[in-house]
Formats: sequence, structure tokens, C-alpha cells
Amino acid sequence: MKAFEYVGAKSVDQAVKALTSGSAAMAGGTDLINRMKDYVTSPDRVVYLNDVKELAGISGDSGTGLTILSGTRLSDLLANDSIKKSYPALWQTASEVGTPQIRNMATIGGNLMQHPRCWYYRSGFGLIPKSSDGKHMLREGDNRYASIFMTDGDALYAHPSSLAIPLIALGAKATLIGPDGERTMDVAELYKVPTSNTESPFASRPGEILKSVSVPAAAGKNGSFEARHKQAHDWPLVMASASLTFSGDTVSDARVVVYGVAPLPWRSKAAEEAIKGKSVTLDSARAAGSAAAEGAKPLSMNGYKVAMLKTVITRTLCVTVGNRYWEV
Amino acid sequence: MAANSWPEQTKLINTRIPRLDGIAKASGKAKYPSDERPDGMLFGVVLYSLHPHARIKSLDTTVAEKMAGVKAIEVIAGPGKIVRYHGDDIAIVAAETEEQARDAVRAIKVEYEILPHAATELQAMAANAPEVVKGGNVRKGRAQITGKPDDAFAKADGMIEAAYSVPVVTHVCLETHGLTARWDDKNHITAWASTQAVTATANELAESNEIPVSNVTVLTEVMGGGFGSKFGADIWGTSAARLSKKVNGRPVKIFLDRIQEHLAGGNRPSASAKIKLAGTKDGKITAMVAQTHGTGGVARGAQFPLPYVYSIANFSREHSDVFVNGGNARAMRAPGHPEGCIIMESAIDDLAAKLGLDPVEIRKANLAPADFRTKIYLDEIAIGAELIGWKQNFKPRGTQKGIMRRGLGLALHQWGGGGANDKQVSCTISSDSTIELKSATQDIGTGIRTVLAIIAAEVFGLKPTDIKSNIGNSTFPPGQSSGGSTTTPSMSPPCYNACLEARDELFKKIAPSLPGSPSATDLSLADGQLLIKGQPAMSFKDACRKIGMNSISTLGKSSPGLASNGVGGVQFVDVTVDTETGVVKLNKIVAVQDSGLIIDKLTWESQVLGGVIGGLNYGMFEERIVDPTSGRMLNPDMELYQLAGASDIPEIIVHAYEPADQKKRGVIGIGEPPTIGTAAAIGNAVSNAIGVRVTHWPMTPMNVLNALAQEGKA
Amino acid sequence: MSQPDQEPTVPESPENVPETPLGPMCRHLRSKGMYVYTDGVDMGFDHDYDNTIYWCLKTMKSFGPDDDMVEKQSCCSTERACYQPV
Repeated sequence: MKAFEYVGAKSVDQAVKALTSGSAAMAGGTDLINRMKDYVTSPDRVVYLNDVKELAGISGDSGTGLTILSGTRLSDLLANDSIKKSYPALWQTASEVGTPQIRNMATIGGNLMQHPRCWYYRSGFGLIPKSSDGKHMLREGDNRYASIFMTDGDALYAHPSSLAIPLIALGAKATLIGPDGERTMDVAELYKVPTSNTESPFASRPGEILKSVSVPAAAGKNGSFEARHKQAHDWPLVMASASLTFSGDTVSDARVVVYGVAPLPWRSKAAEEAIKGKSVTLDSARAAGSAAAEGAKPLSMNGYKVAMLKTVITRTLCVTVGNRYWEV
Repeated sequence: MAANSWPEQTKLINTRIPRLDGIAKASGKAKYPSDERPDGMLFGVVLYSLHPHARIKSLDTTVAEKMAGVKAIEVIAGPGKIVRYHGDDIAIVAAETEEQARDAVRAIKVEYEILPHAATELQAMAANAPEVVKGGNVRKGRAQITGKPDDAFAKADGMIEAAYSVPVVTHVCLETHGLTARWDDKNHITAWASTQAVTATANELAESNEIPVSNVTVLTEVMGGGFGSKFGADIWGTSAARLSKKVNGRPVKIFLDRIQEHLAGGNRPSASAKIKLAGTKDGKITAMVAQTHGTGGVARGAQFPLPYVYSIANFSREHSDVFVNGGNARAMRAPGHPEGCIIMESAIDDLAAKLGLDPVEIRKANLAPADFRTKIYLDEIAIGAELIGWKQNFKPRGTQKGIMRRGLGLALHQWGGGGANDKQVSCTISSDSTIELKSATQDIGTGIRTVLAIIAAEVFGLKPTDIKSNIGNSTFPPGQSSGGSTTTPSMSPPCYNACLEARDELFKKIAPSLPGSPSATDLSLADGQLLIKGQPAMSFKDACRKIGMNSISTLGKSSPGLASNGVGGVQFVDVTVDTETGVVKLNKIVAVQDSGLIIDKLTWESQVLGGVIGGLNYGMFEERIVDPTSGRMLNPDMELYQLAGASDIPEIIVHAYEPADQKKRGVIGIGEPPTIGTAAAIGNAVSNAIGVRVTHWPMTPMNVLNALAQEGKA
Repeated sequence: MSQPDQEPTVPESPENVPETPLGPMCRHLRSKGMYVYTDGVDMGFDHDYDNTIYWCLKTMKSFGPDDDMVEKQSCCSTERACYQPV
């Protein structure tokens, strides 16, 4: 990696001041260091956030809502009983990230702000990998892990943060802090779709770091389901989270978000509409899964993700109401 | 008096004995070649090509040379030279720190003339493809024709026509390729090498540096995996020696990084087949026609055995090696066999399904009558079927309807595993009772250090931990290079003979000084004691004191009767497939393996487990993925190049097939055979579960869902 | 691993052609088998399949000093420019 200056920040204030142009913030380091080793990201300065005590911890409860500071380790998030009990969508997803070693280092902020795993990006071709003659390398090449939605555009990679999925489903807010103070937005608004390799896939401004995410008071039921190749240390191929509120047996409101199908966390309004006003049965969940797949435009190799998406939506909805039908 | 058989009664041989260096390896105390830091060591880092095919127009090292810490630069591919794959070596920088060497490598200015590439088989086989090698990218081998396949097809009761393929998989040795070389003086080199052949590495270092081989010492105390890819010094080793010479003998360490290990450390060639197989209602295969190809990158090596295991009277086969701009193949654990096994075992299973036959029965019906393995296979199939619960659990293909479907599959394999007969082991007994064995072999993971100690301890009536078992040094008596499952069968016989001869020497030497002046033939050893006419007389330690100042030393050679060649083996796999996600879960693997006399049942079992795990990676996870546009490998890491983690590995039942007549065969190597059948058996179990053939390996959700969609069943 | 749309151009099928006897090998030719099966280099090649992978001791690569591939046929031919007898 390129030689860099190291700043061990002790406070948010120090961190923000140190994050001048060409700097990178590092929390657990499980993504940044790999990018630096591969010369995908070569900062002049690394600002280490791990010793910033005011960035770690979970406060509140499921009755009032939770605030999770960005430096909270995934292992600490998993040890939180309130999250396990009331936000199973988040807990389940966090439990499936990486390995125990990674979960002991990785933070929720780092997970949300990680860069795409796309192998063209990691090979140094950028998020929109094009050859010198203008060919889109991911569209023409090995796109088995790429998106199946928004594929008319140029950003074809799949969004990498699995924790963003339940957080968006739960309606969480993210607070950024930077030279101009704090600002709060929906977690979904942290992300944008670049149209060139010089654009960032994040909405954060230079010098801003993620301070916290706030999850509203638990209401209704929520759950996640992940389809992955390996049991040990793997990324999801497709996963989803759902947050459902009920009026009696029928779903009055639904938020369904999907991983692995778009360059953003994919909010499946089609699935939400399909399940609203219905009770969650295998049939209604399957109908929602089929609805979610409508409009998908897979690339040359990832048509399998359409079938997988239907299943993942179906199972996510069923899991949310405690129906693990496929296990029988 | 060289022995011609192993003792009938043994205390240690054929029992379970932990590796002598097991704790050191497991605890991190063992020093691997890449852990060595001889004084003054410099770090070497390789500049390699990002282009799959290019001519070097110019190469400027002037900036790099002046950078901090940089001591020397070795150019491998200078101006005018062609680089042929992503990862092909261009130059190596030696610097005080690894970081300085990495920075300097990036400061070397290379101007390339980019040449058109053919990095995938599709590209290489296309009309007007750029030539990877002179004479074309597709090299047809000799056709095999036996009998009259056309007539046999016409008469058959049923046939299948299918296409199967398995991709290139890379070696991924946990300890990457490389060595640290030091010029000790103007004429001598010492190298700490991660190699499976210390003598080959010494020979190549000597030859490339034009010094006598006796002036080269290659040390491999332990090593972190080779699988067939670590023979010889490699360009990195010879370069380390050249760089060391340039810096007045300071040691230079060159070990590949993980990316290079994938790109240039070798791989198993791909294999694709279009195959027709025909048979009769009673399950006799009557004919096979196959066209196959595969790529070993910029080398040959993609041939594989087919037909495999089974006897087919009428067949024809044509094979082509396809050249691509990709890192070249190297021998990988049973070269060719897992590929041939996948193609053959898939076809026979599909034919069984077509004819409505039990997969176990069709296999039994097609074993070669004249092959000594046939009886062994029949026994092993019966044992394996019992262990997997075939009778209770097997359901014919296509009869399951649920989301989660369980399937069983099996595959047979075979290998040689005979030893070389020209290797030697020395045995020295000193008056302080030290027993030292020496041989220039090395432990690639087989446990040979422990195996030799067990044999010595058996002969001397001691414990294996009492024996100094010294290997991994090229200056020791000639030892076997660890390839072809030959180490244990090559080294056990000379070890046994060396120990027997040393023991007899000991008896002869001390007999006159013993109470009652017994004859040498009255003496024996057991449980750390010297026995005279069967009665304990003194400790082994006290007996050794009588040796005097001059140690006893013997050089054991091989003799007939102690080792043999040729094994079979069968593996059964139990899977559950989630037909909605395509995710395959391995429930259980049963490996039944014959291999003559097993010296150490614990290291033997570990070898079989390792083989099965390697095989399940081949069946489930591994694939070198190459971008057609850039010609670059997209997953040269251990994240997207997928390998099983602990929770991906199911229960594995290892069964040693060793009736008395097996033990009489003597020692046979076991490194290769247990990795051959696993991937084929997994594929068969998946197809049995879901009712359709997944034609592409590995068994990824993508490949499984695609197969289901193909059949309209998804 | 899919098949190309059209059959690749290949040399004339050498069906049942007897193998050409090889000349003495170049002293720089190496393979794994040479180090393992020490009964001698297996130059008979009367196998159903031969998947030996060779390298050149001069270049330590699968291509020789003449930038052509290292192969048993050409490396056992005294006509190759870089050939050196044992």
C-alpha cells in the first residue's frame, strides 16, 4: 500500500478536523485495509476512529427506539438483548456478516460505508468498469454477482452493505457529522448511484463521518432471510429484510428491502404493495416474491438471481411471521 | 539383511500415533520456510504483468534503484520479451523491507505493446483467435479407439448424450511458493524453501548458478502445502539466489503474495466433455464416444484419463489441449484423475437414471474382470453403501417433490502410489542412545517424519518421540521427492532396512561385552530394554553406552516386498439441496480407501480427510474466474475465490480398507487417491436429489438454479 | 466452459497415428515426473493420456529461451535452436 500519515483520533472533533482532503477514516479496517493493499484506495492520511469513545455504544430500547453509535462492533450489536428480541431483522443480518473475527473488529459504521465488493472495482477498474474502447466490462464480462435492477444504467455492481437492508426496512435514520456540524437523513439516503468513476457512491461530504444510526421504536414484526453459497465467511447472494405492521391479521404497512439486486439497497415497493392488506401466508408471500421480481433485467450471467429474489422475498415475509416453511 | 516383509506382530506400526511436529505446527511454534529470517535478509517483491499478453517495449528501473532501501533489481522479462498471462513475471526488487520493495516495484516504468489475448477457452477456440502459442491454440492429442463403438450404440438398450465441464482451479497453497536464498560464500548457497522436493530444488539452484550441487543446501523443516505445484526452484527461487549474489550474499526472501499465488502458482486444468454412453438393460456399458478438451493455460497438461475405472469394450475419444493466456497448470493432487472421474461418473450415473438402474449396481456391473481392484471395489462399495445408509435412504432420481431434497451419490477412483526403489535412509546409533534417521525427503503433509520414527521405534523397542527423525535437508542421503503419492512407499522400506541393520550392528558390537557373553542372535529389544534370550537385561540407554566412541551408522536401501502399487477407493456423499435457492448442503461424506499396510493410522486418516476436503472444495466452491475483456483473473484472493470454511465441511467418515491380504501388500501412498472422487460424488448426489444433472462444476447456487431452470423445474 | 459457436480450426485428426519416436531430450527439460519416478524419464509415452507439464531450466518457465513452448516433442529435437544435449 501507499505510505500514509496516521492520525489516532481521540474525539469526534479531532477526527473531523483531521479528515482533510485525501484522508480516509478507518474504524475496524476490515474493508479499508484490503482496498489499500490492493491500491484501490490510497489515502495520504488514515484517521483511526477506534479509540474515539464517544462513537461506540448502544442507547435506548425497543420502546423508544435505539441509537447505535457508528463505532459499535458487530459483536456488541449481537450481544444486545433488545436488538435480538425486537429487531430480529437487524440481529440476524449482523450475525451472518463475515466471521467471528471480522465481527469482533468490524463496526456498524464501517459496514454501512464499505465499498462495493465488485471484482472489477477491486481489480482497479472502478465502479463503472469500462475498457479503452468503451466496452462495459461488467456487462460484457463475469456479472454473476451483479445487479438485476437498474441495469439500464452504468452502475451494475451490487450494493455491499447487508446491514443497510434491515436498517432501511426498520426506517432507521443516519446522522453524519462533519466540519459543518451534524445532519440526519434516512439510511437509504446515505447512498447514491455514481455515473462516473470519479463520483462517490456515498452522499457524505468530504470530511464527514457517520456518527450514528437511530432505529425507531419497534412496531409490528420484522425479519431477514439470506441466501448465500457458503455457510462460513461469505457474502449474501441475495438477502432481504421486511418490517411489517398489522391490523389484526392483515398487513397494514410494509417495508421490504433487498440486497444483491441493485447498486443501492433495493426497496421493493412491488413486494410491499403485494403483501399489504393481506395476511402473510405462503401463498401471499409467494405472490409478493413474484411481484418483486417483475421488472428485473438480469445481465448475461445472473438470471438465477431472479429466481433467488422470489424465494428470498417469500422467505423473508414468512420468517417475519415465524413461518419457516422450507425447513419441513 | 534387507527385509522382504513387515513384521506380523507390531506395537506401533498400524496404530494411531500423533505427528512428532503436530503440536509445534498447531501452536505456531514450527518455523516454516517463509518464517525464516536469516541475518541481513532482504525482501524480494515481484513485478508482474497485469496484461494477459504483451511485449515489453521498454523497462526503466532507474527511479526504483534509487529508492530508499532498494539493494538490487533482477529483470526477468526485459525489452522485447513477451508476457503471456496476468501474473507473468517481469522483474524483482530486493529491498530492506517488504514495503520498500513493493513501493520500488511500482516505480519501475514498463512500456507495453499490448497484444491481442485469448484468456478464456471460448476466446482461444474462436475462429481467428490470437495465437497463444505457435501452431494454434487447440492441440489435438492422439485419438483412442477400441472396439466398434458405432455398432455398439446401434445395439444398445439405452444411451445418454451429455456435456459436462469443470473449471480451472488454482493451487492456493496456504504457504505460498518461494524460498529464501543466501550465498554463504563465493561457492555455496543455502536456501530455505517451501518445496516438496529438496533435492530437485538444490539441483536447479546449482545448475542455474553454475556451482556443484554439493555446494547447495536446501532446507525444508516443515512446509505449508504443495499439492504437486512445488517441484524445483522456480523462477522466484533462482532469482532470489541471483539477487543474493548481487548483494554480496545477503539472504533474499521471495515468497509470492496471495494474488500471485493464484495467478502464477499453478492450477488444475479445466475439463469439458461431450459424451455419449450406451448400455444394456442389465447395466452393462457397451459403448462410449467422447470429445474432450481443457486448458492448462500457457502449458499443456489438460489431458485426463477417460474411460475411467470402468471397463468399456467399445469406445472412441478425442482430446484437445487448449492454450489460453492464463497462468500455467502444474500437477495438482492426482493430476487428471478428478477431471476424468467427474466426466465418467456423471455419465454412468446419467445412464443409470436413463436405464432405471441403481447407481451402485451399474458400477458393480462394469468393473474390469481382470483387474485386481475389482474385488477390492466390490468390498469397498458394500462398506461405503452401509456407512452412508444407501439401502434406507436412496431414492431414484426424479422421485422427490419437496423444496429440500436429499440425495446420495458415489464415485470410484484409482491411483498408483507405488514408491521409487532407489532412495536411502541413514540410521545412526550413538553411545548416548541417540537414534538419528536422515534422508533428503520432506514432509509435504503426509507425516513422513513421524512414519520414519514409528518404523525406527518399532525396530528398537522405543517410542517414536525417542527417535530423531531428520528430513528436509538436501545434503542428507537421497530421499524421495513428494509427488505421485510416492513418499511413504519410497521411504519406509529403506528406513526399515537401515534400522534393522543398525540394530543388528548394535547387537554384534555389544554382545561380547554383555554378561554371559551371549551371541548377537540371543539379543532383542522391547519396551526400552535390551533382552538377552528374552529376559530384560538392561535399559536400551545402558546398552548403547557399550557402543563406545564410534557410533553405529547404516545406510538402508529399498528391498522388494515392503511396498506395492495400485489402489482403488470409493466415496459416497449425502447432500440436501434447497431447490428454491440452489444452495447445496453436504450432510455426510464416506471415504473408503485401500492402501496396503498403513504405518500410522492417524496421519493416514488425516491424509484422507485432507483429500476429501480438497475434493469437496473442487465440487462445491473453487473456480478461477477470468475477465474476457481484460484477460485478468477476477478472484485472486481468498474471499471471492471460494474455499470451504469449517462450517462448510460435513461429517466425514474415513474407513480404512485393510483386510489381512491388504497388509501383506506393504506400503502404498495415499496422498492423491482420496481427493479424486469427492467432487464427482457430490455432483451425483446433487443430481440424485433434484432430478436433473447439474452439468457445470462447482455446485454453486447459480449452477444448480440454472440446471433446474433448464429443465423447467425451477 | 461453453462450446464455441463453430468448431475450432484444428490440425488434421491424427487418429490412431503411431507416436513419433522422440530424440534425446534437451538437458534443460524438466517435469515433475523426472524428479519423482526416478527409474528414468518416461520417454515411452505409450499412455492413453499424457498430461505432463514441462518447464525449461534456462527460463524456469513453460516457454524456452526461443520464446516457444516447452514440449516433449520439440525439446527432444536437436533442431530446436536452444536445444542442448545432455
